[in-house]
Amino acid sequence: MILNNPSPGRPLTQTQRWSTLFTIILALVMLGIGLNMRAQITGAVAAYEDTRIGIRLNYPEGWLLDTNSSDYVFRIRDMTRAGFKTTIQISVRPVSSATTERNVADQLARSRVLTLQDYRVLNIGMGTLGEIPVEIVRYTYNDQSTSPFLQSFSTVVEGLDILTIQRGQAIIISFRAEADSFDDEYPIFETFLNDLEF
Amino acid sequence: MSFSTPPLIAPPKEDVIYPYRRVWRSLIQETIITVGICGVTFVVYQFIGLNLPELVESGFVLILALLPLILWILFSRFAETRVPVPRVGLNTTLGLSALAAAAIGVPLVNTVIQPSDWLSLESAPTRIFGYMLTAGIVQEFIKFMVVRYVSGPRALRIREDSIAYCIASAVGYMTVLNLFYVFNHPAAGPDMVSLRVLHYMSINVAGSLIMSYGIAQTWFGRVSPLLMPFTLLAAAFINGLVIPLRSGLANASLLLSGASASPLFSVAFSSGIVFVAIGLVLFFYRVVEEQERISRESGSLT
Amino acid sequence: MWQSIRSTLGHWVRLLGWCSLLLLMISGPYHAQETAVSPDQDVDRLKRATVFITQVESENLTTTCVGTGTLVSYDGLILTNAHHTVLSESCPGDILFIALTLNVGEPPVPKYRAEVVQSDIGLDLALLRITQDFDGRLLERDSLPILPFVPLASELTVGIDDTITMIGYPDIGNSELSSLRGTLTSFVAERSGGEQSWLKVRTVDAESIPGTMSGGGVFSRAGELVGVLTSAPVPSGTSSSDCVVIEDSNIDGFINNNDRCVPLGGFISVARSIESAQPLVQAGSLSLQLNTLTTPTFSVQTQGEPSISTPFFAPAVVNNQPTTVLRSAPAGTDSLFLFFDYRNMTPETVYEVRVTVDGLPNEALSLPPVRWSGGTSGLWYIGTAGQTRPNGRYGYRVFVDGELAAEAPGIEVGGPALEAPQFSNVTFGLLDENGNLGGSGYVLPTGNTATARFIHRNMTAGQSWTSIWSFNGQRITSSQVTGAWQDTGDINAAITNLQPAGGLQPGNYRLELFIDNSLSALGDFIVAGSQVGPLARVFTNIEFRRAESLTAEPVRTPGTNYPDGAHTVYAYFDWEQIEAGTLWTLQWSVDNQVFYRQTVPWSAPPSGEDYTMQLTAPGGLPDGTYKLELLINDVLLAESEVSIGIGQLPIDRFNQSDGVRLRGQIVDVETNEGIEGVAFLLISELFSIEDFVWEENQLYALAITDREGYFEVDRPLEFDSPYSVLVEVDGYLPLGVDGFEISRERLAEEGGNPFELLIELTRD
Repeated sequence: MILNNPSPGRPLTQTQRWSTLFTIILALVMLGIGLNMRAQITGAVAAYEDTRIGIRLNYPEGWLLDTNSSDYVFRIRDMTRAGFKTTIQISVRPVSSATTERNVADQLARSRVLTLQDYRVLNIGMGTLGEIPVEIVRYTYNDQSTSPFLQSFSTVVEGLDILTIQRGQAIIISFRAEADSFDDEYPIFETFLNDLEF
Repeated sequence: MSFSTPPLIAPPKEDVIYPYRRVWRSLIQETIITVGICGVTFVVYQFIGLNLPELVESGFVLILALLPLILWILFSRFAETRVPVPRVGLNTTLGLSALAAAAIGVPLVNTVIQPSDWLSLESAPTRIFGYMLTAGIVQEFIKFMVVRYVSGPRALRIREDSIAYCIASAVGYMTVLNLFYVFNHPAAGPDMVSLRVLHYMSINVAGSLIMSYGIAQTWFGRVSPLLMPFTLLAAAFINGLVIPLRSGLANASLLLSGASASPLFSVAFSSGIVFVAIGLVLFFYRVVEEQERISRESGSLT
Repeated sequence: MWQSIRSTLGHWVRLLGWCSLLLLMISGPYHAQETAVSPDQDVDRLKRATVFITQVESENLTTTCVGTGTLVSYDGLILTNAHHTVLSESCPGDILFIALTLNVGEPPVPKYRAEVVQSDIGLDLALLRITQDFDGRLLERDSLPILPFVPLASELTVGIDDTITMIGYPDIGNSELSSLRGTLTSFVAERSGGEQSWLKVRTVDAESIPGTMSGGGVFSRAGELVGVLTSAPVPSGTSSSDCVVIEDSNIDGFINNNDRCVPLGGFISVARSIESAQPLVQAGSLSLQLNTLTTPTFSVQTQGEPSISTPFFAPAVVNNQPTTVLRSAPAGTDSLFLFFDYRNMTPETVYEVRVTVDGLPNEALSLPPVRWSGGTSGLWYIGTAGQTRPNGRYGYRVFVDGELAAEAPGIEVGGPALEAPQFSNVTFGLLDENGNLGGSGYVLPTGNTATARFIHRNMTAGQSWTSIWSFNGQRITSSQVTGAWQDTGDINAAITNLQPAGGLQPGNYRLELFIDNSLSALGDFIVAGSQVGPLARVFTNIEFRRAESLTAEPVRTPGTNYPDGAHTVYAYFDWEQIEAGTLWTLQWSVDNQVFYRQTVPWSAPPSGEDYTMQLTAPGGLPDGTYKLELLINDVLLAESEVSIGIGQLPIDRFNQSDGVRLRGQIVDVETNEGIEGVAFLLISELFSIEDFVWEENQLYALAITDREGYFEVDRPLEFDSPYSVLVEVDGYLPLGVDGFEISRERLAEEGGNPFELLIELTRD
């Protein structure tokens, strides 16, 4: 075999330069497409409408929908998530003409403190949902596995209620997620609220 | 003064000395040994039920994770010191690749993009393209950048240099992946670590070999500037294909008796992939070298 | 090159071989894990439904009483004894902690708190409902998980010598659940519960059943609850062996005799028949509440010490009356009842009947100390029916609160049937124009005359006999008739009349018949109401009115059909001429299942209108046909029905205990560790995975794994029902299957319940 003696450090050819540039561009473009694909998959929604209550909304596809309960009119849970299932629910309560959102928030707090473990209201504030003024309640509690025969630690859950009085009823929109991932999950709730009509 | 006609004798035959380390041989040796050790470990643990003391097992698991690196040092790096023209910068390539993997690649994929979280429930084609456009492209691009800007073009002298540097980069990257796996899954036994080592080796070696072909041809052949990006795409695609296929093969079927996964399929698949990739890329290299040789010979005749 | 590769390869293969051998040598022996699945599917289910109950004083949180109970519904109803759960002097605790056996073989673990929702102190039965978590947090009905439970036997399907299983906690919660195999040795009849009031039980190896198992279940081979193990509460001042001091209840820094002694109860040999518990459970499961709104104007109060008198034997019981009075019984006698009068008894009174045969104690026929279920005063019986007795002289002694209260004259069983003169089967009524006795037999209207008819046998002409009538426990001396028997030919029935001056006043009457000054037969009847033909009109004008809520006024218009439902129903009836203290029975049923039956002394004025009751349930009355029945002396005097909603009880789809109990573990195949928080979705047999659109009403059940990856499907799966299963969790490949169908045969092959699954999930 003939001893090759290539000359190291020779300048790059045009082809090599363009090739490198194309490769970098391709990689970035592909990564962009991948991230877009991710956004599409995680942001897929299903439509829901309840004419009886008067709500129309989109919710994340693949979340478990339940509308047969006396506690709420609409509830979705992310069942594919390990740990506490991130939940969005809408419930309605009758109110009088004198009832304010703050009254509803106080009633909620009183009833929850009896049923939710270590329930604490973090803060109550005012805000708007679109053009509608709302009461916003942040709270936390410990969620426990319901089966007594299984062994699970409590999960610290952070929740956020948006309360408003519309058409003679209090509408309570609740978002609950594991406290550690509340901020990560919150954009889902924001998207949900953006699509919500009532 | 006397004059004598020199005898008409043939000039002495030039010594056939190949001054570089033979990359293919090292690669095949490393691959066979890795597959052998991982395969035996898997079989011993899965079917015989070996039960080592915890400390010994932890050590063994760590050795398994470092196995590609150890074998690369033994068969590639040491061998490099015994040849007349050793390749320089292999350590740097491997080290920087590992650093880039640890600092950018693995966190970007596992923590930021998290394809396994949102792709696991999707259809097979979506999963393939999803992994290709995320984990695959990130991994292959990082390795490419390390080889391109750290090793080459100064170090690229012959085609096989491309393989040597790309494999060094792959070993660095896969070692980080192995270590991440071992440290994040302390309960994983040697059998499952072997399985992962084989898996990471298959995607990294296959991807890097494909990428090396693109680099080699771009540097030493007269090819389109689109070949290198195309090989990056192909390497990423191989990643996208292998990741879901491997887990899909190992995944269980739910029956009344439960759902027992079949990791043996995974071992066989990963081993198959790495050998097929070596064989295929070797073939391409041989074809190109042969074409070049023919071209050179025909050129010298004319 | 290939030669070099081959050589290197050979070297490494040899090295690998040696390494493998070395690894094998230093590795420990491999132990295959054996699955410990109980071959008896019933016992495992029964054990999980058995709970340990601790009654605690809230003031200083010290234990006051302990016992066992059985979950009888999926939503947390627990059937147990009243004596260790209902607040009383001996058990003054006001919190009931419920501990469950989470793992068979381990002591119970406290998980919940419960409240008494139904109780009958006399029957010593209580129905608890789990209402709070262990920490006192309220548990709404929806938030309580579906709990394992045992259904009540619809009728007593066990017989004498049948194999039974008794389950309970053998001590104060330190030990694992005890499951004892045994046999049913006999039934003991009592007036309050009929022929099968009590089940006499014995373990196979005659092992003693500890008192803390009181309240636990007795189960048939089919796994149905047929009885409640019952021991009487230990009276205060008992020996220390019957109670234990475990806590410093007076907080003096010492645990000694000054601290509360937790009663353990005596050894158990008897169980209360489940038939007595059915009304409680029915009312509890439907959350029905019955409130009597009519204010009592009279209260029956005990005066003086409890007493037992006039013990005698009878061979049979008809309408709670003795057929005749026995002094001896022929060989082969299979029914014998001890009758006696009682006064001043209370539900807290503990009574006991000890039986001897030829002087030796007979455990099978005796009744250990149990609570009194007969009210204040009346005629009581206890005995056995349909159980052949050995020959011998039988002695019966009745103890009240540990003191001998009465000893019946011994009765000889054996020998041939004697042709002795005898009166029997006394019934009461009014004679019509043709001389026929009409009426309901044991309830007569107010009027001038009461007539009794009785059967006579082997009477000879001229034989001396006497009849005497009593009114409210006092003999009417003027009614005594003594004379010589006159031959009536082939006719074996005779009559005698009572015509008191001033007519028959409302109250309790008795006729005693003597032959040669020896009691031969007696019969009780009640006079109440006005006369309508031969019958008594006591209760009239039953009406129902609906109300929108518990506090809302009922509508004015009565009705018997409310198709759009009712939250609360008020029931009214008028009554006439009932003497205060007369025992009357109020019975409510829904869809022919009794949920309320109480026999109590009449406490309202003698006559009146609109005796008012309120029937309600939280959230409104369940659909069904509700029937109100009014009885005296077990004679139905008035009844009426009201239909709510569709007139039929809704089918509770969760109320199913039979089937496949599915549980398992979901693990990561690579780490072999359980994965927490994974949803195991069991899709209804009506849908396939393809049809599943992630709506909760498509699910049959949903289980979430715990921190070790274990899950339990809380509803039993129906056999041969093709469910679909879906396991999806982020980061792992999904698993799903349609046609997940388990047959009885398959379950048996797997070793019975629970059916266990190991699911390995794979990551990318």
